[in-house]
Amino acid sequence: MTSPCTIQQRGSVELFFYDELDPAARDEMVAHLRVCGDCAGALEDLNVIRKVLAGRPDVSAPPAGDWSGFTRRLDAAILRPSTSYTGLLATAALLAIVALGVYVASRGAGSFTVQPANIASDGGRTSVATTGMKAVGAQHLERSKLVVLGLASKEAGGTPTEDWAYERELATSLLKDTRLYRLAAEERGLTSLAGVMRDLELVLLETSMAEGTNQRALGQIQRIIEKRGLIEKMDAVPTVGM
Amino acid sequence: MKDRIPAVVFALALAGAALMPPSVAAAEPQSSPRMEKAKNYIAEEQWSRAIDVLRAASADPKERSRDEALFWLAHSLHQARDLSGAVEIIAQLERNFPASRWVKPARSLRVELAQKLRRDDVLWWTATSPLPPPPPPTPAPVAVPAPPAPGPRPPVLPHAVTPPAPPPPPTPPVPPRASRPRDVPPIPPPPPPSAWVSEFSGSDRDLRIQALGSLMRTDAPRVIPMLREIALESGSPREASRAVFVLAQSGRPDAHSTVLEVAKRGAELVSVAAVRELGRFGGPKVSDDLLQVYGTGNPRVKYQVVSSLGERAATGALLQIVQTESDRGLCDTAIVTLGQAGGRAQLQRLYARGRAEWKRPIITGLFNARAEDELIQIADREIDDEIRREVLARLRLLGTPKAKAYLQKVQVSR
Repeated sequence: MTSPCTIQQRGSVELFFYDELDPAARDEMVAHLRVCGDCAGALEDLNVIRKVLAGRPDVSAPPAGDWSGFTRRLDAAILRPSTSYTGLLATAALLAIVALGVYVASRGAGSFTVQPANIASDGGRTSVATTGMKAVGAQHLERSKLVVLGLASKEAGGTPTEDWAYERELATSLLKDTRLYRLAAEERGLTSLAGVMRDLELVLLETSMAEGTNQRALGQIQRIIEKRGLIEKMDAVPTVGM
Repeated sequence: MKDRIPAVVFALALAGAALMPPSVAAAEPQSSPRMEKAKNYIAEEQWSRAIDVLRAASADPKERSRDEALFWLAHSLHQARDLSGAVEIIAQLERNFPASRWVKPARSLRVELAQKLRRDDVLWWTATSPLPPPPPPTPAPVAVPAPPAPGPRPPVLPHAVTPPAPPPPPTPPVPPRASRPRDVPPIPPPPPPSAWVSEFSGSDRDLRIQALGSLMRTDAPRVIPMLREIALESGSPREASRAVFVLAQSGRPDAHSTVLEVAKRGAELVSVAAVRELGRFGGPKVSDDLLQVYGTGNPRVKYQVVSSLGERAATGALLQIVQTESDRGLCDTAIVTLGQAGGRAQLQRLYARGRAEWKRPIITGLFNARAEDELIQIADREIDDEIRREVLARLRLLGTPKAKAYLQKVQVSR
């Protein structure tokens, strides 16, 4: 077993990828990449991650009324027969999206710097509660992606021993919260949020009621996720509006 | 020999299937093609088609998932705005399959229907019914020999389909007041409204919370003490946290003070949940409340207070914590959170005080706040090489034009 290239160990490939090398070092790196398989492979892996991340839909401008198809793209990104680390990297990238989403949602704002909460200047309770409900909804949707993305990326026709116990367990614990949040969102007139919560509730209910390694049930759940365009809606609602 | 392998494998598979415990085999009810079709209609929100298929499935004695069919039928009727039809089907499900696992979600649906139809008596019945005994070990659906065939619906429901907010019942049952003295025997729950529930109906704590959430609109003074009791005395932190959410999102001052009490007195996880909801739903003065909780809370609660203050961008309160907290981890977290909350000026002032243990978290906080100017100033003035290198690394990661220009300048001058 050979040890990896020392240039790669120094992190120069990452600096090159992010265009942070000075011109001379960049030229040296270009020359090095032509002869070093380790570094060329590492660069290719970084490109795969970028491609997967860039392939996400533009959630700020969803196609009118058409929420379907994300699952197909997700399958294409994840389930495609992969070589080397591509599949793992794509999955890692998706997990990174989820983790980042949870983090951002937990901060209650769309960037790392929190904007002051929209506290009602008139002291009105309604807008405080509505703002709070939006924060609750956004965080809950991000948390629920762990279930929904997990289910969507499983192979329904695959080996029957593939268990989805994790998703079923998590779905059971999320279901009651989802119902409560949906009712609260409906009461506050947050119709988009309530609509996504309704779809999510359906998926979580089906998931929590499914038994063992029932692959047909998994296929059914995946159809609901796809037909309702749930993943795209969960992405879009916190950014586009409640 | 090679030809025999498939036969051996097949025989082993058969043996395995035969040896499988009945509970495992029974736990894999395969949906019939009809049920799959119905669920496809549900997924596509084609409610009338789903209703037709589910009616047929629920009436067919050969259908293996009649209980499930009844649940989805009630669900679809609800979605199709046939609320009275949905109530009937739920009653049918409870009557014919009392042990089915689909009964629980169906009951939850009934609470929602009662809320829509303003049947507060049903909601109160749900909120005050005795809790069920622990579930039996094998909750398999109970098969009923002959379910009632579909036919004309019994005229038990007084409501038309999608009525425009029917009037409240003339004499609504009086719920027990949670504030009664403990030595007074509990008031029995009100008689169930017969059109909605039967001897097969029941409630549990989740349904209670859901019903109380609906009743908050009309009966808050009675509801709040009951939710308080669940929040402080339930053995389940998740149930208690849901009760806290219902209280907090009501926006009522008396509910707010109850959440504050739970934050101070509740079990650890419930207290954390209460702090989180105070942060989300509290009014402009909630930072003071959160600081009060901080003063009495254990470390886990304190971390949640810091996080909630960060979400509210309460930089003043965070600064107060940084200046008074002796626990290093909490202090560091408060500093980093101060950056996320936009407290660039406060962080810069803290840095100027020169306390060595604060420097790294302050740099992290400024980085999270993308405070390039402040980081550049620190890089200019810092004499500790190691810390300076760290600041430069952060500027490199920021990669803004100003940061890049500064890094270039530093490189040239070296």
